[in-house]
Amino acid sequence: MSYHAAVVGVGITEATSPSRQTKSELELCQEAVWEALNHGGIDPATLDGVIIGNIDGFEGTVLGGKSLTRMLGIGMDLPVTVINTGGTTGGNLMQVAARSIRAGAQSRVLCVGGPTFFGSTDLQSAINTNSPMVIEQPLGMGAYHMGAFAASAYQQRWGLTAEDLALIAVSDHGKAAKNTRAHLRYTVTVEEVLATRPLSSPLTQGMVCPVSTSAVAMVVAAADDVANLKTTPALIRSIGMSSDPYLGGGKGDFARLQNLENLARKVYASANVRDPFNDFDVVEVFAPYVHMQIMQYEALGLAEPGHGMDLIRSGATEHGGALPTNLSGGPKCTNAGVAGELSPFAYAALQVMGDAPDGMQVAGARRALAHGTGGTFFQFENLAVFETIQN
Amino acid sequence: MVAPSASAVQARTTRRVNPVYIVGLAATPFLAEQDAMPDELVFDAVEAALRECGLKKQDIGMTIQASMDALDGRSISSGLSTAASGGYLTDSYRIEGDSGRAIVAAAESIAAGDIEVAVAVGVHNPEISGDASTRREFLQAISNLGFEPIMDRPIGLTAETMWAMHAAGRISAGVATLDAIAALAAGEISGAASRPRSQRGEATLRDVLESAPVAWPLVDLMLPAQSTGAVAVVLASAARAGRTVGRSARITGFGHATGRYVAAGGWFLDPAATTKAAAGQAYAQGGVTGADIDLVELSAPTPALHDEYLAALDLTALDTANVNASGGMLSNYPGLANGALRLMETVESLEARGGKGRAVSHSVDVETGTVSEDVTVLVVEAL
Repeated sequence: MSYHAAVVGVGITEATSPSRQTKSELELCQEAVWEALNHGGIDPATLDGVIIGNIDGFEGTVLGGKSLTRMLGIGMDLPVTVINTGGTTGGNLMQVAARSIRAGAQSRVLCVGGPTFFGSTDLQSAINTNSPMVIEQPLGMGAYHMGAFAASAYQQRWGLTAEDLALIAVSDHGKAAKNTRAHLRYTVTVEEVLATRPLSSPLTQGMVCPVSTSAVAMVVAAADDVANLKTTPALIRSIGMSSDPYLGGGKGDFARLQNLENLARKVYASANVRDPFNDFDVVEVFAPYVHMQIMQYEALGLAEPGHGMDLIRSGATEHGGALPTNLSGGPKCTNAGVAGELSPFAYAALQVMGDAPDGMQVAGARRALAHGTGGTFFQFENLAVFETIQN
Repeated sequence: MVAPSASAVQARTTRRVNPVYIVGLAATPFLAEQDAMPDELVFDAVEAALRECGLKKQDIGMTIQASMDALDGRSISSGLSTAASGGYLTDSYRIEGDSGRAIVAAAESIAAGDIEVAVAVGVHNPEISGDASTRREFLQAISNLGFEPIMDRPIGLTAETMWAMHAAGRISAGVATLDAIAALAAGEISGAASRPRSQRGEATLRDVLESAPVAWPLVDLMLPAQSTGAVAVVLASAARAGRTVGRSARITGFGHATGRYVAAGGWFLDPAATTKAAAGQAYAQGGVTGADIDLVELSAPTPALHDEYLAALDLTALDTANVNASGGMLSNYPGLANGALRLMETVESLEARGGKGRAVSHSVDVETGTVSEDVTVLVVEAL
């Protein structure tokens, strides 16, 4: 026999930059964890395990979760599993928890995403150590440079302008300005985005994610173990991950996210999603760079190839639009590493639970799509479909 | 709300799980150093494990790797090795920990009904070269980075210092003697010295006592026999295993527990409590007690922990010949691949008995010694 899994509690702290953060990594994680427990009315004595993300190369420690989880105030004997898949770690946490619950091995599992980038002084240099050591490492290539390959390829194929790319950032900032948990809570104009520091053509500073500090926690439970909880659970209807080959040459086409296309077909089939644009009430994607967002829309079947930008121009992705997307402001306004990667899943689950933060709730949302991604030339992708369960 | 007790945690996890079948097991050679990158080792082990059960990459529904960035010398090192594990365009992720946990996660995915064939692979090839003392120094430096950075790291806590304090405490308390733990080490090492995977030749009590001191009372031959390599396990659902050639064994219970951190004191006073919790979960899932078990592959990083772990598994009644026929960690310890190696040795021991019986495969991670020790226990049945 196997079981259903659902999200029953979510905690998301406010975010800011590492230099302005007044709370420690532990304090942020404690805050998120207890908010998640209180959100669901969950006694920590009913937890069976903790899944935590640590990206060691960025954190200045090794397996930090081993000590941190013992100081959260939720007991000292919970089994701890440390996941590290880089930028997609946060999205994987919930999937690992869900599979354990679906197997019947555990009934309630806490997922913790902390502020990965707290102590980093040069993230590009850290990610450089992931790249191939014959050409990319000596050249000093970081995430910006490798990300720009796809941005340029997409521009070349579909004629996208720098102004189009900037408009994506403008849209996200408008949403983040209404999210009290977001890091960059100011609006920007196309001109302002274009005037920011060039990083790697065509990307400028305003088109990529900030370095944030915050924490996100989530409690995943067996769907038959939700009696007496305070929340309307978010059933994890379908989940999946997919991986690229390591080298950029294996991607086939830099202007398409074929790996994500493959994953979406698999996850949609499992969830019986046939018309994704109309079948979802709300979507959260993890797009730390502007071009990724429209490419993801296309890979997810929300727009035809080359028409991802039309979704943004039309206002369909705004609050009140036909398919509200990234109402949190997404990672271009808040990216705290593992916390940032868990965020799309947390916000999407909150939407179908009816508990999204003030000003973000999509009325009547019953089915949501959440997406995570990470990597350099390669991308690890993950997806989840949430549906409302009536308690 | 108050923090839960260990018994409360254990009491909740008693659902029976669907059994998961072991259809493929393979390892690379185990060497002091490998002339290969981690992805090459992963590929060799996974390819061999798939070949022995007649499956191909396209049959894999999920791969789970066990490795660590700090050992592999690069950030997100699984990016390099995921495709080699069979994870290209497939569900895949990496656990930073022992491969025993990766096996549990793979088994859970199958027991959940989500996946038909899953691969768990552990790889260990630290990015350091030199003699044994250089490699030990590197591993202990990484171990130190696993401790809390404000209070514990500056005073030099490492896996070896924690194990040494435990062993010294047992000797000081009169519950163990130096000769007794040395004799246990000599017995494990010598009993397995002729086996192909063993990293150590025969050793007498005197050899052990006169081996290089590490941290009193522990000496080199009382500590894991470090090696490098990769071990892959292919698991399948009952339905898929029925159409697969290969191993004839299944996992009916899988337990996972993590110990308390430094200040709680369990690492010194009762380090076996973590093994007991993992065994409790695995036995409950498998519907067995210690009396139902015929043999065990035990992971005791020092001989001072051996008896405590065996008791925690409720297996003290086993004949010594049925405990660590492989020589355990003192004969071969390929780092994070240990959990998969222990399962391989367990299945081979069952096969050597004519494919009959029930066994336990026990594994621990050694990153921070008995502090926050991560333990997995698998109940394995021959078919």
